[in-house]
Amino acid sequence: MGAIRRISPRLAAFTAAAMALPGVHARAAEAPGENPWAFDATHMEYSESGNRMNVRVNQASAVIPIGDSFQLKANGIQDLVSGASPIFNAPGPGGKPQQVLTGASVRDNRKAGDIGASATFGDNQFTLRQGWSNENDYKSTWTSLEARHDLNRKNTTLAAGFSFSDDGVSNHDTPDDFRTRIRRDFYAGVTQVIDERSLVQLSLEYSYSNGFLSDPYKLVFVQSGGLLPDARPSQRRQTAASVKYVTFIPAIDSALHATGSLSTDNWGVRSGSLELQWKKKLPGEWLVSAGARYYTQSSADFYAPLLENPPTGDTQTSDYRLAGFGSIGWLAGVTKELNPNFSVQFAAERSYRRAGLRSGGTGIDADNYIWGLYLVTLQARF
Amino acid sequence: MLALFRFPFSAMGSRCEVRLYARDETAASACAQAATADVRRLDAKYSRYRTDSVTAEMNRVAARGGPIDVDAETATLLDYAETCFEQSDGLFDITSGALREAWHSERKTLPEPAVLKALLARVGWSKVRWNRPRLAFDVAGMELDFGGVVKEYAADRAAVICAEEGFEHGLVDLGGDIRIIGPHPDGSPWIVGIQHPRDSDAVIATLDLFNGAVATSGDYERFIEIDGRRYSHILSPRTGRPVQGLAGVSVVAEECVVAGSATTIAMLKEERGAAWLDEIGLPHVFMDRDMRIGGTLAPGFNARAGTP
Repeated sequence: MGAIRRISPRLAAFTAAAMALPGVHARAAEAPGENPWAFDATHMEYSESGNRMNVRVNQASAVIPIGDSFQLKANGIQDLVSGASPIFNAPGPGGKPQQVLTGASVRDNRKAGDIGASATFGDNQFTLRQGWSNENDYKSTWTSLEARHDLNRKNTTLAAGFSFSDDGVSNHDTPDDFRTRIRRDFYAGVTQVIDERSLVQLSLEYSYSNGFLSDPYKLVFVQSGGLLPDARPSQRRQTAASVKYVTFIPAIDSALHATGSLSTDNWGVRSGSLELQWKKKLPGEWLVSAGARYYTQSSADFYAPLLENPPTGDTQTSDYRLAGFGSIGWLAGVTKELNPNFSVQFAAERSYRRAGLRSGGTGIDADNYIWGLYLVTLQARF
Repeated sequence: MLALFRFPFSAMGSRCEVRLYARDETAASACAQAATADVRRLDAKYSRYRTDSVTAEMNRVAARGGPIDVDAETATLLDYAETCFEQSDGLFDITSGALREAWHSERKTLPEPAVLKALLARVGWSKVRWNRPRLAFDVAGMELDFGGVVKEYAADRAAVICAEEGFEHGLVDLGGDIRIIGPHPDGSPWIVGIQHPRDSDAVIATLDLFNGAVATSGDYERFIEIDGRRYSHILSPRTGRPVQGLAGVSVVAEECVVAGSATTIAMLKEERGAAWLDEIGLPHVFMDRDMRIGGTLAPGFNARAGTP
């Protein structure tokens, strides 16, 4: 374990003289340069307890440098979703809400991809991306533009971005009837290096969606009779802020990453999260990480597990994602750098969703479940 | 699966070896050959014994006095030697070569004090003017000796050649001056035994080295024997006589060249060698003339060499 040793003036003189000798230290150029070729391939498996969703994701991406200042980027994703999804809640024994899941297993295949280009001019970088996503009942086309500016000798980085997404939503009963959903995201952030061991990152996000924001597969059970379709307001405004602090702690020879975030929207959903991650390098180019995450949200104003009478307004939902809930989870990962060009990463997460951890509003224990994922990523840099 | 391949060779008057972990011998062998070729290049370039070496060319000028312009690599070595001179308070002096006229292996009797006094008049970095790329000898009859620098510099370069070829696990050993390329593939350190100066089968310490370098200097490896008494090959530019004080010393540093010059300076400092090593702050182990073992790497001292 390397205690930080103060270098004597004599040793500093020797080291400086030795640095000047040709070939005594490996050239930094042996590692991939500032603008490397990069290829990543990831396989991820996500599953929820109780025969709910299973998602398998295959993803591949490439970054192709052109000269020192330009990059082309391409990314492809294929998802296979299977399992059952909750449709609505019905009263069970004692009036307690119980989930009604899709009878048949859902099976959906999503293909998505995006291409982009980055250009660097001095301390400025601009990235333009165009993406598509396609599955039977959901189509999306999006465009994003991001600008970054380094100042203060790269100790400060400012970033700002905008993205625009034009989506079409249908369902299995009316597969050709796509209804429009538009979303615009605005993002601004600053990264500040504090000293050689730590940095802090602040970001603010605002998004505005309008159009058909309901879920065509969800229903709301009304006890006085019948089922109503999921119906949400046609506008959603979300604001989120996050802060991340990264520091290296010599005493334990490890890095600590702490991230906190808060968000609120005009639907009444407020959320907060806190994540701590510990990362340590081990001999033989291993990097291990372990962490924990806490998340909590309040329910939407128009959420109810089920309704006694038809609502007076025209919005209602029983979607578990708009319920009040919280979760606690852990994550762990290990990355092995095979050589300066190749690395392989394994990661796993497990999270426990509980209605009792909600920060406000309504939530039901019937929506409690456990989800887990693991992923393997191969990375190449040249 | 990586296997260890060993490539022994002779150079710089020492038994040398490149050890590399590789998937197959072909790749390891090609790299070891490149590393070995660079050691032989430096051996030829800075040998005191070859008439076509750069050292010989410089010494022909040193013998008659006057200036010589040197190449870039030699210039950085002279800069390095100047640092050694300054940091050793004048004891590490590459102009001590003339003293070998009085202390060579065929000698049967001790040189007369008057002879040493005359030789010392032709020794001293302060008697040369070094303005890169020009080295000017103010006094005729001088002689340069790159001992304590070139072999260690060669070990550093050979290891870096292997590292830049992509080898991450291995070491370069030039007659006990060792530069680590990287630890064993399982992340475990190389274990280097430091030989007992009087008993070649015994070790006074074992070092765990994950990276960096270790160099050793002692009165046992090369010495002159006169009237049954051993004299070190390291000659003091103050007295003109072989140093006494430490029987052997090993120093761990990031670079073998720094470790090597530190061992030589510790030997030159004699009784004050151990204190000088403490001051510079490099991990070390030594044995004095009374066979007492000391230093931060001595068994029982609560310190470890190298860091993972």
